[in-house]
Amino acid sequence: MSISVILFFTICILLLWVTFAGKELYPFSYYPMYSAPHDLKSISVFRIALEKKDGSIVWWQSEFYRYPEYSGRKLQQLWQARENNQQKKIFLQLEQQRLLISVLQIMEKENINTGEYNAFHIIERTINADLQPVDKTIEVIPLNRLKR
Amino acid sequence: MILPDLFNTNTPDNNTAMFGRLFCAALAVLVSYNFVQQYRYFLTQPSKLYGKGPKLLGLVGFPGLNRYQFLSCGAGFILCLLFVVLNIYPYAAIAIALICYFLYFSQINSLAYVQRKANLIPIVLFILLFSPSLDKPLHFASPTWELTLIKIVLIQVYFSAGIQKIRSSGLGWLNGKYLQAYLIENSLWTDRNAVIAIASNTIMCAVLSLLVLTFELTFGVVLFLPQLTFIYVGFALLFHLGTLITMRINYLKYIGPVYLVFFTDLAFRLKAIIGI
Repeated sequence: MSISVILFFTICILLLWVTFAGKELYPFSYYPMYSAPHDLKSISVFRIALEKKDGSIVWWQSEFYRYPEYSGRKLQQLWQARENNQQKKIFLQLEQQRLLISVLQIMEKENINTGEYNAFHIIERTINADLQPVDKTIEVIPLNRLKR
Repeated sequence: MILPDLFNTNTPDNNTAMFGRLFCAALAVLVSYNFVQQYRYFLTQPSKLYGKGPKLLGLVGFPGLNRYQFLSCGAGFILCLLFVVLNIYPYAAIAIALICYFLYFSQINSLAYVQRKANLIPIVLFILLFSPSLDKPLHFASPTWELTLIKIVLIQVYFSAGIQKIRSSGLGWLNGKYLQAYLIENSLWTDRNAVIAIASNTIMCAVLSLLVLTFELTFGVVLFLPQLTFIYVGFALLFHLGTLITMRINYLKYIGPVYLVFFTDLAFRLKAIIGI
């Protein structure tokens, strides 16, 4: 059997396997994104906002938009875990602090002057019946607490 | 198309070499264009937040690089691609490009337009590495299997995405409500009112869901009915533009060069018209 036939069938088998077994075998992928059922009623995201010295609030924006999204999702997971497990509350708070310190470091590496801000606001965003966003501040964390 | 024919028939021109050169040229331009931004991303040390990158076939991890190693791998990758374009030691160049690819892209795999979106690059390079016609002149005949395999690799992206939707949600994915929820959730990150306007129309969401799922599951017909190729390629372009605008999902950047597999005949025609 020639090398071309072996190569052809090996790659085809790998592609079929990741597709039907639903496995990730980098660089082969089964591309599962946006396939799970999703419900309007359960939509909720956590976003990080920054409080300026004058008291106004702006969203944390990064050149790399996954950073705010990933950090928000992590914060949401930590909050859900805190609600479900009071015994591990301190551990989860420390984990949140570690995450926010990483956010601060990313901001500094992106040349954002963190001295212009007073605090992080963790904001939960949901939608109302008119599909408009509804924001609720979950926690305010002074930056000097993280910079210490 | 009958399977044994794949290995015994040839195309009149060397479509594989043409594709290899077009693909590598497009990729070299894209990586060069994004090089500075990718370097800036590397400097933010994404592994501190996301953890280490993926393992090759789930087995072999890649080492973390310092900035000089990262820059060298990126530059080496671009240089090797240019060697393929110029047909200078193309097999050696592809082999080195593959190593550079894994070292370079594993450092920035968490970047939104890289994660999963650049996965086809090493697979296509690997196929080219074993394609006997890559270094032959453009007027030589090339075996059919080479480009067919690259088309299959591209089709799997969509076919698998369609299969996962059926597997996770069944035909419920077609009701438009899941797509609507995903669009609305995305708008909470982007504050794009136009997305909310689209998402608030449930019928439009249902139609879009049907079109997307049909496209994903049937893209493979282009292997058997090549006359439908440009309809599917056109839809794919619209699909990716749509996801880029509404959900910031950018597949076009690194999957785009693979689409050149459908344009080799056109390239030969252009070559003949220009008279190169």
